[in-house]
Amino acid sequence: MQYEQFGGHYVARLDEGEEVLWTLRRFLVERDILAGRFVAWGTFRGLRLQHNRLVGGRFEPHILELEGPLEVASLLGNIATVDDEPVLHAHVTVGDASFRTYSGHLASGTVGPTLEVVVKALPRALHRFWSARLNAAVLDPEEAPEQAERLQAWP
Amino acid sequence: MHRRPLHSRILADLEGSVQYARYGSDYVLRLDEGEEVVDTLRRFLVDHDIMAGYFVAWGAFSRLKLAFYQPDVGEYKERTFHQQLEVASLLGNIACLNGEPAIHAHLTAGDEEFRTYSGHLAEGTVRPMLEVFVTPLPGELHRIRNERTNLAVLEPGLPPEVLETIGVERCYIP
Repeated sequence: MQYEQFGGHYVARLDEGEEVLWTLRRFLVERDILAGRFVAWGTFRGLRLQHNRLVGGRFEPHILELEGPLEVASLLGNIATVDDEPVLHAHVTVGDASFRTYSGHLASGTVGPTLEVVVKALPRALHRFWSARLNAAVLDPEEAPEQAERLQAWP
Repeated sequence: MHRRPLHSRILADLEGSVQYARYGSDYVLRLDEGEEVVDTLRRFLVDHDIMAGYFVAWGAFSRLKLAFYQPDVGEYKERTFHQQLEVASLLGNIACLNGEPAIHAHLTAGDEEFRTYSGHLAEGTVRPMLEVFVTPLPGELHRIRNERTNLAVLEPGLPPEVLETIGVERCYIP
């Protein structure tokens, strides 16, 4: 993955065969990015979409496997940590060769030929906690004054 | 703020510029009926020295040309919609290609039965308006045309000396 930093933003390019979530997570660990959001443009040659049914108040994931090429119409994601490791939460809309649309939670996606990503990093960690009841990692935004120093040092 | 009195706005329209306001480094624009989204945005970027960034837009089109990249043949397949379509999502990025800012945008549009069509934005005629929020990035981003894939490949992180060596035309805006 090739990237460039612009203040608090990063612009990246993923190439053929890279798995989007794995590749981005490795980049986030390398750059110590623990909170943020991102937008992406490009094409997937393979995509697994997830749809969660709520059964008795609990998420039951179902996967739809799509064969590409698929044009990414919208890929919007956020970045937070679970057990101090950055995780991505992304939703995606793709169009196929007949411009028909599929949308859902991004379970995994194989890039082909390229995916362009703009990441906006936020200056301090954002956490998720695991909810066994819901069967999901729940976003838990809260103020953390001890992180003020990190905030000060942010570009 | 660049809200001009009505008469000068009409003059500005004749000259083909859009109404906009600046908020810090971000811009908010309104495109009006009949404007071609790609041409109008590109002209705005040239006028404001924006050589890197991204944008989000809301609005509707009376005509839309979507493209779908076919990796196997390295060509775009196109389809033109001659109907009123609501923009459900329009996300774009900005980088330099052949010395000029170029936009790369994908969108999802919905028809009157709320069915959606998604793809790469080739052309769009605004009707009645399109609202655009642009976030410029401090610096320049480049694309380099790959003859084999027929794609203008984004090249983040290439140092200026490398760009010079491979003969990339930098975005120079007088």
